[in-house]
Amino acid sequence: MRISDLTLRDEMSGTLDSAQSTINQLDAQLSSGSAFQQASDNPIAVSDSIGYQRQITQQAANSSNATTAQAWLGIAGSTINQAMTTMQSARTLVLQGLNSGANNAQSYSEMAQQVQGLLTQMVGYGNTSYGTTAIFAGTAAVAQPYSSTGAYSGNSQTFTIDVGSGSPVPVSVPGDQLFGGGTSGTQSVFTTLQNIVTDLQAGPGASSYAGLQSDLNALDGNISQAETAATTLGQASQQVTTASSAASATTLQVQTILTSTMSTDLPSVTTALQTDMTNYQAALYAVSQAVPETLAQFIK
Amino acid sequence: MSDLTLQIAASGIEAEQAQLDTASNNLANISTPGYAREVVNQTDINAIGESGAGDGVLINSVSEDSSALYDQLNLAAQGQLSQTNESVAIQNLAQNSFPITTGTGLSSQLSSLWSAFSTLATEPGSGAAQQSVVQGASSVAGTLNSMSSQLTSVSGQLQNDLGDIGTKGSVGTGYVGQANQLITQIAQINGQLAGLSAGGSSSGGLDANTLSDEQRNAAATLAGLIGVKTTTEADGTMTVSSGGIQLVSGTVANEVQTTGFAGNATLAVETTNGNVIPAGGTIGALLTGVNTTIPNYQSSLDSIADSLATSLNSLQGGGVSAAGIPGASSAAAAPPYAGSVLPSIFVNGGSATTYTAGAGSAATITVNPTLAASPSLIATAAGSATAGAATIDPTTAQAMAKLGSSSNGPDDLYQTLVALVGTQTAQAQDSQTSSQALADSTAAQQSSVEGVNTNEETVNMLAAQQNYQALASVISSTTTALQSLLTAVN
Repeated sequence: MRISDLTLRDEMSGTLDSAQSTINQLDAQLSSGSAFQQASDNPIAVSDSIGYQRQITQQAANSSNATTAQAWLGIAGSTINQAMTTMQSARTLVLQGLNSGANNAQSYSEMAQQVQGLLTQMVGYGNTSYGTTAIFAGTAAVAQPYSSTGAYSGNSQTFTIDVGSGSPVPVSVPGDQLFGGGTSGTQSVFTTLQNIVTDLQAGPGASSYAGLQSDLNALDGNISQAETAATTLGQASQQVTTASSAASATTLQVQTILTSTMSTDLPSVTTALQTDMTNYQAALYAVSQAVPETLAQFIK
Repeated sequence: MSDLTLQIAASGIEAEQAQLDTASNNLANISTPGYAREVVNQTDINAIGESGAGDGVLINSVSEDSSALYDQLNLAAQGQLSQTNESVAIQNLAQNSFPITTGTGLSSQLSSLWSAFSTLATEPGSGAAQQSVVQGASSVAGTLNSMSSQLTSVSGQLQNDLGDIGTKGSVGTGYVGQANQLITQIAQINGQLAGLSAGGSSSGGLDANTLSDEQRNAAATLAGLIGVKTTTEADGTMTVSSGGIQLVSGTVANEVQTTGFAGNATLAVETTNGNVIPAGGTIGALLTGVNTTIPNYQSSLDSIADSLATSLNSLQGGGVSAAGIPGASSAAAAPPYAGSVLPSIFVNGGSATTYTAGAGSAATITVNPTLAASPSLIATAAGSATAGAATIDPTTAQAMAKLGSSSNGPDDLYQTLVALVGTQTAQAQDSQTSSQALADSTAAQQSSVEGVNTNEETVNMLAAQQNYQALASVISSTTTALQSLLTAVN
């Protein structure tokens, strides 16, 4: 077959072009550190890497929510513990009041004052807030869910935070479920304490004893309700911790996959570059030899 | 032996001279596009003398060494190559609208938006969290707008390249204009060739070989532009058709024009007498780009905008804001409630108050100015919340944040779109590579017949030179012989 000079020229420059273009692509990979510059370089891997980045952002949001959830749970937990201590103190005072031989009007009045102080403390616990948000108001946005007498203005819905573990995790307990009253169907601890104060103020006597006895039962009910709430929050805290470490683990895994998908494979790219450079030089040599060679040269 | 010998030698010298001229012309045109190698057609002359030896050589013509088959294959390959080249260019332009760099682009902005909703769900009443949701939504809408407008401007550029929209009968602009120039040129050459064939003289003073070189070259360029087939008639004229529609027949040139509207993807190229051409080549690729490729990407962007806006707007409508303002379709907004309701998050365009899904929505989607002015009007609580009561119920905000991981949500759609654009671009590049290989091999085949090889011409040249010298010796020895005879007679 006749090879025309034009064809030969086109083929030579075509060979050099394609060698240069390959080298150019490898150069771009090396200098950018990224295996793709355009979606068309590897559509599937590019699409996957978008998904990976999305997962990483989601996990970061979950982690940040988990931190917030732990802060809520921490405050709620320690407040409930303090409240239980306070209720135990009130219980001790009631038991003391029921010890008929050791009391007189004076000691009853002193005890009443102490219980009144405990009541004020309990109202303070009920109004605990995270930032400016009251944590025992359910989902109602009120600054102080409890008045000084213990009247509740929150609601009985639970505030939750989504930490990426299926359904959102409760991070507090509505005030009525923690302290009673409201829609919970039990007498609130604030009413109990108020009743204790009233019974103690009446001074020693049969009706006071009877009152204190029933107050003791009510108080035990309140304490057990708070314990239940503490258990619920303890479980929630565990759930958040698990979700948080799962988020970290997932982030690490996805990050690793993303890096291996997106990053230039240095050993293979440098090897390929070496090979292509050698080929390119060989092609250059071939062209430099072939172009001037025709019969015309040898005719003198 | 007579002066016939001298005549025979003289005819040989003339023939060798023609061989030398032809070799020289072939070498001179070694780089001329469309040039087909010329050969001298010569026959021996019958013996009429007493000796029975022939009467020398006759130069019939100097013709072109061309192959109609390879010409056709080459035209087809050129058409395909130009089409794939243009497709790759269009795909690359479109692909630039979808950057893949980490931390930029729609994907990361959507992620930021979902993160903002996630944060809002932990503090529904926080002004800062509400503000960052509105900002996130604005930047997603802005990116959709700018991606859509980038695609629109790519489409505009393609239409501009295509040229000659709505200018019937004129030579026109762009590639369509170039095609028309070539169509006219081929028809003109046809006229000149027909004149020569009928025994007249060419109007331009060009010989038939030069004219058919020009004709072949014009047809090859036209094939690259629009995809054509040609047939060469007995008189040397070329009939050109594209997809069965005649563009040139004899001296009749059927010019083409662009018709239809890019807006409804009906752009087409048709002849002035109304025959639509199933165009290939560069023009075919441009039509596909304007009618199919870009509109597909636009409509994928519209789907992303629609998915984002309708799902967020519906949650917004079914929820209640932290301040207790109910969404229009929430339980809290049912009578006896008669107060104001929450605005939509996304609307079409600045003054619209609602969002309608459909074509062009990616270009117009924007955050409702009412919401942008008061970010606290974002729904965060469940629709069952009490209207008018401030609440930190995060149910709706959590549902909004969850959209980020929903399947077939805007993120998934975008991911699919990027994969689609990447795959189609890669496919276009693959077709380009194979078309290039085909065009290279076809061109090599064509030039194996029509091309010029220096060595071959040099060999011919040397042979002609030696024959020339031999014939000169014949003349010299005949002269000597005749002189000896004259001397002997005298």
